[in-house]
Amino acid sequence: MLETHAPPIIAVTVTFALSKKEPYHADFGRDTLVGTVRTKSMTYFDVTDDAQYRYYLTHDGQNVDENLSLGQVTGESHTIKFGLRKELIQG
Amino acid sequence: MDLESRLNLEADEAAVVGFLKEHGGCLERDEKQTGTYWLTLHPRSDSKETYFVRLVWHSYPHEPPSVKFATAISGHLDLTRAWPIIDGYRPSSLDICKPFTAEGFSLHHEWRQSANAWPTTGNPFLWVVETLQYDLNLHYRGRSS
Repeated sequence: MLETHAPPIIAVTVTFALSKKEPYHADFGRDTLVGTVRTKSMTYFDVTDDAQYRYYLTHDGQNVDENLSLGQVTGESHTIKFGLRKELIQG
Repeated sequence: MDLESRLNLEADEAAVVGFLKEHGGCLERDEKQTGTYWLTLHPRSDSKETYFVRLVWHSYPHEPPSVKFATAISGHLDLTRAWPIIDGYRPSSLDICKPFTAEGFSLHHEWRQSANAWPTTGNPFLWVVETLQYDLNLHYRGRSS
């Protein structure tokens, strides 16, 4: 019987349009929460949440729930690319 | 448009094209006016709906662009039915009152000295386009009449 095994380590890339830096790259265990990746990528890009705006990780055109694990988002893939976006206030 | 702005825009275009392609949209340069671009966008919840956006840059990346919805590429810019219903998007005023448009900053001068000041680092062209696409993906409530 052929068994598929989800990879234990996921190679994560996070891009941020407003940074001069190269994309953030790091390996995480598949049980790592998306919220942890968000925090670490924000530290890399030197941005912080504020009372007026917040940063989200996006994937497949949507904000990703921070309480999900990477494994829940990637399935059996061993790589994933997120975007980091800044949610603006309304005028 | 000054040469620096034109060269900066050309350098940042590729990432915008790539992003839009991932989301089923596209970017076109205006044939007549340097610094003017036309976007074709689709909301994630209704891929059959198509929105056309004109971006006009005068000084890139130092100033935000004018952002308006149109009936088509090079189409009418004065019809409310070209606009989506999204908080902060004002079809009756033909503007977006959010801190990524020239129109928004014209209405809210205080933004220039606040945390919402226009960003000039990285690829602001990509950031504006991402913002439009994610507003359509996350906050879209249909087409204006």
